[in-house]
Amino acid sequence: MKNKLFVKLTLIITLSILIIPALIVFIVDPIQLYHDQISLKKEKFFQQQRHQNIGLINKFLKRSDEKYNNIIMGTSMSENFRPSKFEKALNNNEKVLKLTMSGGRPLEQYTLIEKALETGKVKKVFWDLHTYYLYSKISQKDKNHDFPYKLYSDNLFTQGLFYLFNRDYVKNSIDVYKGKVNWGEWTENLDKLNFWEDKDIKRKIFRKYHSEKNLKKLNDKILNREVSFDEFWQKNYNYSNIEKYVINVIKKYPDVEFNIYFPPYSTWFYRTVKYQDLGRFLYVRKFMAEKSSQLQNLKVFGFDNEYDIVNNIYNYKDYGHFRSYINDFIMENMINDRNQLNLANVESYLKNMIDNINNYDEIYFKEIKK
Amino acid sequence: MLFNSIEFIFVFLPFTFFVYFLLLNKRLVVGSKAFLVFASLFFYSWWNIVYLPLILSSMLFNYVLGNSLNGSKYNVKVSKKLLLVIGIILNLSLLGYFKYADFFISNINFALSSQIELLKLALPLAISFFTFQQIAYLVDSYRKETKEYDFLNYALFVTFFPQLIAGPIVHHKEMMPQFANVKNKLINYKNIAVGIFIFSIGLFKKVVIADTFAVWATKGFDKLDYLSFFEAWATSLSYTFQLYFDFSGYCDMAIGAALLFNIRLPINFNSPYKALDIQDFWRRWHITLSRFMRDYIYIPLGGNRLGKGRGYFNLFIVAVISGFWHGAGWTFIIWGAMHGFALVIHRFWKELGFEMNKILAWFITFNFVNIAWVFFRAKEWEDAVKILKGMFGLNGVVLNDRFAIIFNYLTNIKVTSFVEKSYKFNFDITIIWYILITFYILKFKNSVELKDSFNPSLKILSGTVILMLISLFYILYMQNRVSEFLYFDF
Repeated sequence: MKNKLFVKLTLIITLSILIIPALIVFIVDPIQLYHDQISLKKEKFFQQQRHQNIGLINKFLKRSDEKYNNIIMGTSMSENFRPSKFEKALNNNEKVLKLTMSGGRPLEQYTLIEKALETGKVKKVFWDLHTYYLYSKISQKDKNHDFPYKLYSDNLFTQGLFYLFNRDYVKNSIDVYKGKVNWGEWTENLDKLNFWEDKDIKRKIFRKYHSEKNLKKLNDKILNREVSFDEFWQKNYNYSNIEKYVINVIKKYPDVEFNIYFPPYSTWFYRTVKYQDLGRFLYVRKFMAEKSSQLQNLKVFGFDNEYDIVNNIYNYKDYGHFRSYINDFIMENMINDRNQLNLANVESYLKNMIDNINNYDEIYFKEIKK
Repeated sequence: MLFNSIEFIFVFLPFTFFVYFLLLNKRLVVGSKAFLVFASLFFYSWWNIVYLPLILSSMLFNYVLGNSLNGSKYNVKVSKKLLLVIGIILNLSLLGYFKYADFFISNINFALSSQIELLKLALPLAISFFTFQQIAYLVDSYRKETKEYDFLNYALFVTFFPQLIAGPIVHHKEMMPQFANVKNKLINYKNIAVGIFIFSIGLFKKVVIADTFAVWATKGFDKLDYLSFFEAWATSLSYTFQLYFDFSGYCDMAIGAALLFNIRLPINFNSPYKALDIQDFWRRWHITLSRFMRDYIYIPLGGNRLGKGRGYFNLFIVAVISGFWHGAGWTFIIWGAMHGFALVIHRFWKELGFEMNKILAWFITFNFVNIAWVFFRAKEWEDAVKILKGMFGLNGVVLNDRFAIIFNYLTNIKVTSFVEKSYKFNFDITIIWYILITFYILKFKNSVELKDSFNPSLKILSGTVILMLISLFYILYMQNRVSEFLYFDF
């Protein structure tokens, strides 16, 4: 064999074989980044939200002709929203896309929403303002989920290198194509993508506080607390994560309506959380109410004075993760502009909230039949 | 840019190759050389452009000084010896400032209980290498052993990217003629074929073998606080193999990349773990460093010409300097001193005329090298002690469950079975690797021997493609992952 032939054959054979797995990912496109998924079976969605969401944005906001004008953003608090219920409640033939992330940090959500809004298709955003936004020093990376910034890169080369030349996606592509996937990671039901209530009811997690023993444990943790309205009302907390990653987005897209809600954590939470943190949690409601008076396209919602919800531990699986009918309730309210916070009502809202916290001395578990 | 990175393999190397030969094809010889220097400086700056002025000024200074010493271009009236001394001091000061300042400061702080603040400088890349190369150049200029070199050739000698950051420590005598040789300006498919062949071996060594051992070595050295007998041996052997495959793999890639440009770099490794004594080891390990140490430190110190005692001292001190060159820390000095002692003992043994059984000789040499590497790798003295304690059985012997049943009767002499938490190595896989690698190291031709007997055939082609493919799969596909799936852990 001649040297020249050796060189040519080595390079050609190596490069040709090397590219095959990447081509498989490109053809199957399991998260639908470039085109609709190619599979022998029904279309599937990846439950790694941080990965799948960019595919959903490209599929439904960029490529689809359907009226996907509404998106649901947020954390685990918003994962139990069902797009189909939203579409029914909106009743305007528009479609809704859910782009939530478990433990979604401000920077992660900012990266995601920028991608969604730059498509120009979104008219309304429904978004929760979870605890991560309240502290300035919060880590922008959820240690359990490595946000794939490269997938969100505008540089197609960077994006492609990460997605196509990725051993997990090679395996996923083959699985998705054959239809034999790991059902813990994939689902065919877009409406229930990342909907966790079913799984937790099955695992009896919501029944945890049904027992007297566990209820007593919770009661034992309740701290004596007399929150003073006047004490924190004058404080001027700084919420740099909200300014940077939420308000900036709202300002940048004046034609998009932002419906932001505070997840109604259990009152037990406010009786156990550190006192210095409590002020931060309360004051943010005032902060956002002020913002809504300055920004035409911002509506803020609060449900902390829905005592049947926040005082009954039946509704929760922990300090603040609630059942899906509460998501339905929040949804109805947001769509119909009820329970809105504004400059006129925020003072009385907070006074009522504080009264309830101060008077909450014992937890109860009251089963609600739905 | 590392040789095993995507940007080097798929962008930098092919681009530089094509542009270089395109310029030569247009008969732009000076342009092609200038381009290669530029590309090499770009390669250098890829990590951190801050130190680009440093390497440029070092290069310019040494070139001018070298020519002054040689007397070919500039006639200076100052004593040339003084000039040489100043030149060496300046080169060493630069190295000292960037590499050793903090070591000295922290030792002064320790000795005098002072609070002098550390400089915390980032070590300029390749400074250890280009300092030595240029000191050799200055010394030879003083000895009038250098010729009148063109600046571009000189710049290429210092910066030529395949050898720039991790050696081999090239010598101007072997490089300059190659840069000047007209024959090397033509595309040579033989060289390209051999270059690709040896590059693929090096890449495989680095990416597949060294990086696999690195995981185990890191676990033992950096993550575990306590290692039992087998774990400690697994750790030290892993590092011994990791270092060899990493460094020799890197050198193979350097040799391969240089060959694409028709430049032959000196060999740096010749199956060092086949060595039967410690002197033999140093003739096989990092050969270009040993060469430098011998020619520019050991011999100028008098070598063995000034009596036996002085000869032993010289041998020892050169080894200590070599240790210190590898890193600014006491563990490196200890490592150097250990090798120094071993070299002295070996010479003494030889002078007495004793012979040793070959297998025993290999066994002692290999184990000495292996134990000495523990100090080389350890970040702190305590880390080394931690590993050595385990290796010498002071932490007890803990067996894999399966073996524990067989050797149950040994429990009364501190041999226990693995408990869940101490199951830190997957022994089945690790042992297979050790056996394969030891067999490979001892029985097979090394990459340099393979390179020299290269003859393009279907067998060699398949081998090259397989090595290249596995390595590139590792580089391209194995790095990117979807993070571990954790079911909605808020």
